[in-house]
Amino acid sequence: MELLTMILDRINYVGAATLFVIGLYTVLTHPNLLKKVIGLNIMETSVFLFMVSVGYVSGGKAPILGTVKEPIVGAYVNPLPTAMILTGIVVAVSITAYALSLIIKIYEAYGTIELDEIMEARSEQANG
Amino acid sequence: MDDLIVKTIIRIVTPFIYLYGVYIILNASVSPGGSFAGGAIMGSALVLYTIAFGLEKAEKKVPNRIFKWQREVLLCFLFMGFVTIFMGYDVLKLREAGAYALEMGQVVKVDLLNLVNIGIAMKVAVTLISLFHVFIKEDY
Amino acid sequence: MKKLSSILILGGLLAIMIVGVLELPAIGNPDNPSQNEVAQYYINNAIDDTMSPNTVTAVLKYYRGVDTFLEAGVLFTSIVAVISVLRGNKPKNETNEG
Repeated sequence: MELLTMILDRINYVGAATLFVIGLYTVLTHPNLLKKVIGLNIMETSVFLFMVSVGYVSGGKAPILGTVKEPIVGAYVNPLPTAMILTGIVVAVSITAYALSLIIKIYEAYGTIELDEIMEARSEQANG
Repeated sequence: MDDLIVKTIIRIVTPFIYLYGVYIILNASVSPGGSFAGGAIMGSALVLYTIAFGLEKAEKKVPNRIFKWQREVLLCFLFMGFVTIFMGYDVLKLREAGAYALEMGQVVKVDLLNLVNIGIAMKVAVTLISLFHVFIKEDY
Repeated sequence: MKKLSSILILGGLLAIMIVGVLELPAIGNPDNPSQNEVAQYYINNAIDDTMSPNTVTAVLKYYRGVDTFLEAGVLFTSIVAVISVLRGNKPKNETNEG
C-alpha cells in the first residue's frame, strides 16, 4: 500500500519513464525508418512531460499574474520549465524535419525505407 | 483534393483561423498562448489551405519573397539589444531603457516588444509553411 | 527471439528508471527543490521588471531573450538544412524547365 501511494504521488514521472521505454522500443525494433522517427518523437515527448511535471505545484494556477500587486509564491506553477520546454519543442520540430528530408533522400536512392532491405542492398553493392 | 464540401468549408473557416492567430499574437504578453502558438496557428491555416486547394494556388497566397522576412526577425532582436546597449544598460534590460510591454490593464499597443512578438510569430509561420511546401514538392 | 530479448532488456531499463524516479520528491509539493529562488524571483519581480503579466513571456522575451534569439536561429538553420538536402542535387532537365 505504501508503494502504491509512492507511485501515485509520482505518476507523471512513471508515465514519462514508460513513454521513454515505448519510444526506445519503437526505435530499436521497427525496421521502417518513418516509424523510427515516430519513436524518436515519443521519446522527446516523454522528456517534455518529465520537465513540465517537475515545475508543477498542486493547486497552482498558470503563471499569468494579471493585476495582482503582490503575488503569492506558492500559488503559481514554475514558469521556468515551461519556457525551457518551448525551446525544446522548437528543436524537436527542426530535428523531425531534417530526419524526414533524409528519409526522402534515402527512398530516392534505394527505393525503400525498410532498414533491412537497405542493408541487403548495401551488402550486395559491397560484395560485387 | 477535388471536393466541393472541403473547399467551401476551408474557404469559410480560414479567415477565422487567421483572426484567432492574430489575436493570440497581439495578446501574447497578457494572456495564455504567446507568439510561438500564434505563429503555429497561422502556419497551420496555410497548411490547411494547401491541402484543400493544391500547391499552385497556395504558392500564390504565400509568395516566396515572404521567406526573406525571416532575416528581419533576427534584426529586430539585434536592434533591441543594441538600443539598450547604446543607451548605457545591459542587453535587453528594456524597462530601464524605456521600452515597455503593456501597462497594466491596457489594451494592445504596438511597441518594440510587440514588434518582437510579431516577428517571432512570422518566423514560426514561415518555417512551418515553407517546410510543408518543400516536402510536398518532392512528389514521386 | 530478437523481439523477446529487446522486450526483456527494455523491461529491465523500465524497472531501473522507475526505481530511480521513486526517489524523487512527490509532484506538486510547493517545498520541492525545483521551486527554488529562481522561480520565486520570476514570480515576484516579473511585473516590476518587465511590465508583462504573462510570466512565461517575460522569461522568454526579457530574462532569456538571447535564448529565444538563438532559437529563431535554430528554425532558420533547420529550413536551410532541409532545403539544401532536398533541392541540392536536382536533375538538370527539371531545373531547365523551371
